[in-house]
Formats: sequence, structure tokens, C-alpha cells
Amino acid sequence: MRPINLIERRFHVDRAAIRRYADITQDYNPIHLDPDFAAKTSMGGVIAHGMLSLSLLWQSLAATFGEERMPGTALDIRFVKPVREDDWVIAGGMKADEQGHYDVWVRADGNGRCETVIAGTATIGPPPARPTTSASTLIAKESP
Amino acid sequence: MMTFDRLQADSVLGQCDFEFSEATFGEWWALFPDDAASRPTMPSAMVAMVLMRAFMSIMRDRPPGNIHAGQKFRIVSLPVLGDRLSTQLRCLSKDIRNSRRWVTFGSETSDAAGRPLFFGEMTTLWAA
Repeated sequence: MRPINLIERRFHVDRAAIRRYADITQDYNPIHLDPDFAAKTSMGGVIAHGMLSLSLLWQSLAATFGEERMPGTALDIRFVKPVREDDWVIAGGMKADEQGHYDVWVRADGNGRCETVIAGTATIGPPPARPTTSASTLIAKESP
Repeated sequence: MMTFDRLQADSVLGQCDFEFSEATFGEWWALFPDDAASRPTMPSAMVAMVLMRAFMSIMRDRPPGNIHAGQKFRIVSLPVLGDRLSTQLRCLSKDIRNSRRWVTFGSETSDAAGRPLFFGEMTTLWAA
């Protein structure tokens, strides 16, 4: 039985976190790091890497189903709006059907707004195969 | 410069190798401490980081101002500490819609034995 709601994960996207994510991914696009440059773009200021927020969706899925269920799992998302410096991002989702599909989202809360920044679908893989030999049958087989 | 005109649909753009090391894992869980619990297995959230490192390395000569519009991932298996990964990046398709240049990239990350670990598909609005 799959849960109706995913366990939510939240994260504060401050300047230090954006810088650290840039170092980890080696994505030093100035729109993420240079306030003067970013202010002159259509974004009007620094925005976080989209994949930073997407990481939270995997964490929400893993918190709900366990990391061992992530092999076999798929995500299909759209980046709807940018995440801005000092936003809180909250990732979660809700069961869409009984076939393992979840509507997933990341919302940004801060800078005077609360809106969806990532939307899409997760498909949860089947549970890992259980051993066909249970402990009790193993004991029975080994008993003389 | 890898402009829209130079990108070829259904072509391999390059390959990038990566070791899932203690140092990399340490950088990750310094940012996301809860992910340390998955050790020695790579937390699923790190698949995005592996793809972005490969993309940044292979597409170094890209025009500035591209927009990441969509992303798909499918995980087959997750590596453990010490595994060497290899990510191949492809240009899957490109087309112009509503005067915008859409480019879709595909990635396949495998382990040292060539077994697939995870697949990605990145949809972008290409700047030039």
C-alpha cells in the first residue's frame, strides 16, 4: 500500500548553499553567483540552480519509500519558475493513481510569494524482490 | 562555440568520467546532511549532480544564457563509494518552436563494467 502523500523535504536556499552547489556541480553560470550580472538579465536577480531544488524531490521520494526503492524509479519534471536567493523550497507530492504514479512539486516560499517552481510526475518502481526462501523454511530445510 | 546550428540531432557529444569518492560525497552531505545516511550508496539526489558535472565538462563551449526547462531521470541502479562512473552525453533532438531554439540532451551513466546506472533527458532553451 503506497502512501497518499510524500514526506515533504524543505531547504533554505541562501547564497552559501547556491555557492556550494555551484562548486559541487561546477556550474558557475553568473546568473547563480553574480548579483550585478543577474540583475541585468530577464530574471532580474540571482536564481538558484534548478537541479538544486530537483535534488529535494529525490530526497522526498527517498524519505517516503527508502533509498532502496529509488532504482526503478523515474522522474519527469518541468522547471516552471525560478528559485530566488533566500527562498525556502519545499518538495512533496501526492498519489495520482494505483500504478505507482505521483504528482510531484517543489514550491518556493519567501520573498513575498509562495508558488510552484517545479511540477511533474514520479513513477515509483516495484519493491525489491524478496528472497523466495524465508527464514522459517530455511530452518525447516536445515533441520534433520 | 556550440551554437544551435552546430548541434546535430542524434549525435554523441562526449563522455565524462567521475569517481564517486569520499571527497565528493563529503561535499554533498555538507550541503544535505540527511543524505549521509545512504552511505556507502550514492543518494538518489546526487544523480543530478553527476549529470551536471558531465554536462558542464562536455559542453564547456556553450553560449551563455541557456535555460533548463525540463528534466527526466530514470534510475536503474545506484553506485557505491569508490565506483568509477562514465556519463555519455548525446544531443537527442533540436527544433525551433515559437521562435525559440529547443534542444534535448540525453545522458546515460554507467559503471566501470558498462552496466547502466541512470538515464537523464534534459530539455533546454538554447540561447544562440
